[in-house]
Amino acid sequence: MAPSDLKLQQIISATLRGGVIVAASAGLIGGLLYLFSRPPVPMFATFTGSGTPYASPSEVLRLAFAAHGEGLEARGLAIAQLGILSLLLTPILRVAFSIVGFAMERDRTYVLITAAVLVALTGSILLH
Amino acid sequence: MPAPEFTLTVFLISISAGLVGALTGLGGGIVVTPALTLLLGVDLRYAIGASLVSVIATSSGAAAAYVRDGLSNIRIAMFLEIATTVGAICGALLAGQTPTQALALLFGAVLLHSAWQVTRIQGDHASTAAPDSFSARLRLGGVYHAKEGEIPYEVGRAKLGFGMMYVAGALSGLLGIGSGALKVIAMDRIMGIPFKVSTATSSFMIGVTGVASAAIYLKRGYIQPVIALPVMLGVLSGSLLGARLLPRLPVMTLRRIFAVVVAVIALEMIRSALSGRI
Repeated sequence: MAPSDLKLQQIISATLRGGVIVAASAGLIGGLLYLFSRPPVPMFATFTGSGTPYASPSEVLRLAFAAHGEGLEARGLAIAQLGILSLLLTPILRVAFSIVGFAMERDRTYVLITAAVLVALTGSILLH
Repeated sequence: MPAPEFTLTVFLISISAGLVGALTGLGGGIVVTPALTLLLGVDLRYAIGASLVSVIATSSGAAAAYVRDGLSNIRIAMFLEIATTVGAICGALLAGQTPTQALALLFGAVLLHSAWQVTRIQGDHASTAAPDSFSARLRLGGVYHAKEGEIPYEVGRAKLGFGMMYVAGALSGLLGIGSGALKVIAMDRIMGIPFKVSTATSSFMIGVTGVASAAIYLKRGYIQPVIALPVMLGVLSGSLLGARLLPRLPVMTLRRIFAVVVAVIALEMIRSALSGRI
């Protein structure tokens, strides 16, 4: 195994672990804020679709960090959702790092294979 | 149910699901969805969204260790992820057009198959593959560490394995599961990759596969923090606990017991779907 392979393994391993730690920490903080806000009874028996602000990353960022937000409940949930979003980001970063790794090994076949996966992931983000 | 009780209940259900998932090797996602829909009456789509997030979290956690130890084969994963991500996108798009009853029925069937699969898990075996020219050109083979030293392995029937991975990806996108069982079947049985490498590579692939459909779920409002958060934290803690306990427990006996539990859940899911309660 090439030394760069080992380096790549370490970077990928650290990225994955980092994503889980960030998601769990943001989740704990956001979850506690939510519980302290005396939230209303959760309703999940019927599906209400994509009208929710948590479906949009920009809306989540706004609710989490705005100086005058929409109350503790929304801020807590937005921080938790931000943790979930960063968890979703780590596999994408992992694929991007792999492209760099394969490029450094001058492995054209695998640069192309990995790029195809990244294109599919980008497509899934852009799809409606 | 008031919010604190709801959060605690979802959290406790998810810990149990994570435990069962770790002890059976199925992963927590596949158990938490029927538990939430059957026990709490949560809409299947919210359960699926939450479960997928928990699947990505647990597989990333497990894969971080596997990759560090060189057990996941990154080349095999990258090659097969083309099939799983495209499959996952198709599955997630199809999920939006499919009535929840049909999804629940399919979920029950997949769960039943997984329960049966659990009882058939055998230990490690050496590589059985005769490398095909395609796998050789992609240099899919590798080496892994074991007690006996460095063990080289080859990969066979890459194209058939690739096709099976598309199916695994589609099911993952349709049902919000990791499809780990199918991924391992594709690598272990079809491509002849050693069992340890197959499981390590499978959990490495689950994150990327899951994100492809999670992006679509997110936009459609399936991922709600009120439910996704306690599910993610619960399944994650349950799986970590399960992985700790695993070496000290009679695994084969537990697998048989839990296989029956999972089968009962599967039949209940199918019954609820048929009677229109989901």
